Amino acid sequence: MKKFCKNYLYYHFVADIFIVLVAALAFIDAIYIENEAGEVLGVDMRMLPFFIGALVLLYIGLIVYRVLYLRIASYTLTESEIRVTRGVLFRKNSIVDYKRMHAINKKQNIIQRLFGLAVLTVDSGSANTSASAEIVIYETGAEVDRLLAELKARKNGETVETAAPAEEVIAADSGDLVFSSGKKLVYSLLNIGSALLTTLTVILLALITYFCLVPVLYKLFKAELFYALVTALVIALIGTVCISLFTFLVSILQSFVGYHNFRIKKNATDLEISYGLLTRHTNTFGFDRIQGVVVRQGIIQRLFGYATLNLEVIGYQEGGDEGNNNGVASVGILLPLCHIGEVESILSSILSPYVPLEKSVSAKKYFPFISWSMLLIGVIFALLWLTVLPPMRLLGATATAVAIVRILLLCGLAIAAGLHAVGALLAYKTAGLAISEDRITVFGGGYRKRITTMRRRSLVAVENVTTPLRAKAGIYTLILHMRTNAATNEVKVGMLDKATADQLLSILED
Amino acid sequence: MKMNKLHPKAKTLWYIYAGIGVLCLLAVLLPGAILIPAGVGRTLFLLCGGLPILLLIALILVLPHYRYKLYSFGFDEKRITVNHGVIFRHSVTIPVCQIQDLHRYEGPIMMLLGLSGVTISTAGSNFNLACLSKEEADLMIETLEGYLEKRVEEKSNEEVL
Repeated sequence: MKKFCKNYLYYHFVADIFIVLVAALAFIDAIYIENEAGEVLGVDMRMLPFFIGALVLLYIGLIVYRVLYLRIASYTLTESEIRVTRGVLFRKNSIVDYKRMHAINKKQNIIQRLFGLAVLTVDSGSANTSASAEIVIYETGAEVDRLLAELKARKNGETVETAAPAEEVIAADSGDLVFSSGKKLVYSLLNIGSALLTTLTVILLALITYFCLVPVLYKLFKAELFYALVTALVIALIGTVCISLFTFLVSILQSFVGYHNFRIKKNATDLEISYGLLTRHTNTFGFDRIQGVVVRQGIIQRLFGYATLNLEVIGYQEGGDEGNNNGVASVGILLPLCHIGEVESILSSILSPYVPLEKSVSAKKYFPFISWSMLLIGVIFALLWLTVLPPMRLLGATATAVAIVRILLLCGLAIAAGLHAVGALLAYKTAGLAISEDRITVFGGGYRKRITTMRRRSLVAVENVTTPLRAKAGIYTLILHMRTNAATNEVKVGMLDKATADQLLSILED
Repeated sequence: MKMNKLHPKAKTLWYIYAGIGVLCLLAVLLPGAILIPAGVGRTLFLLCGGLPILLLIALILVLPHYRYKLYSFGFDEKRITVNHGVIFRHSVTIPVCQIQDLHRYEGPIMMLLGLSGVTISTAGSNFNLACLSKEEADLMIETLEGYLEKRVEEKSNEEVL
């Protein structure tokens, strides 16, 4: 059994300081002396030693934990499997057969790079462990690269010497299919556009609600409390704008830093996707482990003819650290941005079995897309109407105020219903299905279009949903359960006919 | 495929769950109705909060009957089918060969009523089959295990041929 490298400890000597600093910031209020008006008068010297002592203890505790973790953790590569032992309080022995490895990933953030440390994660593809990898190994960067090559070769029953070298398909700075700086800029702008649209909608709805509620709130509460509520609303709006600005910043950082030096390499059996400046991700998986490809288009991307390509591979998810995504599984990236017209050629060169099929079956009717949700919107507005207008009258509001609130409520209803009707129309136009001998393509989504192409054998169950009226009209919503990450394994397509549902069932029984 | 109904005690279990839900809703409504002084405030509270909650309570109390009536399941050597839902009727079909593992589960009230549920895990999703008797659940798991072994054997023979 081989031990994890000692750089793990040196890295945590530094990284844990950040944890201690965050803890210090969270509890720093405790050492200040404030007067009744909340003004800071100074530092409470009696509390200071306890405060510093607690932080030192926290740091020592963390370091002791890291030392114990390093002492316990070990791994070995046998002829047929990889074994890892780790954990201090809860000991975990993981064994993954080479042939069962789904995704082999290398991660290295900027501080880890300074210490020459890297993290290797291996996922077996079990749906139960899709949120966190079973195998996690901390080694030097060079050793992780060696392990990566060895595991890739062993997965295919080869040795490092006999394994085929990977050829570069797409690079950051060269080649025809480029995720260039220009595209990164476009990617950022599109994300900013989407965030801006969402922010403006939220602000508009918030203002309508505010103007509706002003007369009631003013009458119900005393002026002081009323102004406190108004202040809370203003703070919420400022918060929304701040979050949007933060989103803009994150979007730009994500494009230029997160996807720095984006590369896709492939050989006969494996695909390797690497990206990132601060944290460098190197993800490797066999073609046979890929369950599907998803072409996504937000409304802004649709307007400008762009799309994002994602991969459905158990164990390959964006974000997270040390193989743990905190239970939140997100789809892995294949290409952050490309022209919609390029999708077919890109997939043909990288993953030809996943080129989307032409839609052969479309949604039968528009009305079912809006019926229930419009009813829900109606009920919500009726409740709002009931909770605002009669109380206003009871509280003696003027006829003008009641009329204004009524108009605003109707405006809100019209905006919500209009937005929903347009979304439903887009969903109706998009919804569809295509089935060929080897794959299934599902077209779905309203404002956010989603085209999922999966292999027939990735389909594990089919669920059809209908209402008595829809059943009479022979209309079904189909939910295809895929063999993939737990959070993304359901692909829904609306309002198709019985024959399509039966065709899918027959595929299941093949 | 022969479709089966759930154990009749399923309805009792769902009524108990509905009762707990109703109590929770009343716990929200009653203190407000008592604490707010009589007058415009109480009228407003009862109008705005009480009416929707009372409608919800009525709905909760009616649903178990229809839920039981419309719930059915069946399985054969090739597939498992579960039909459920009152307004939105779901019909799930799971091929036997896609089963990863089978679990029997019991909650405290289920134990009191002698009921068990079966969770069918596949490589992508988990599906729950609610409220069978313990014996029925064990028999179902045993039968499905047998079917699964048979299907796996058939599949491997097909691959060899």
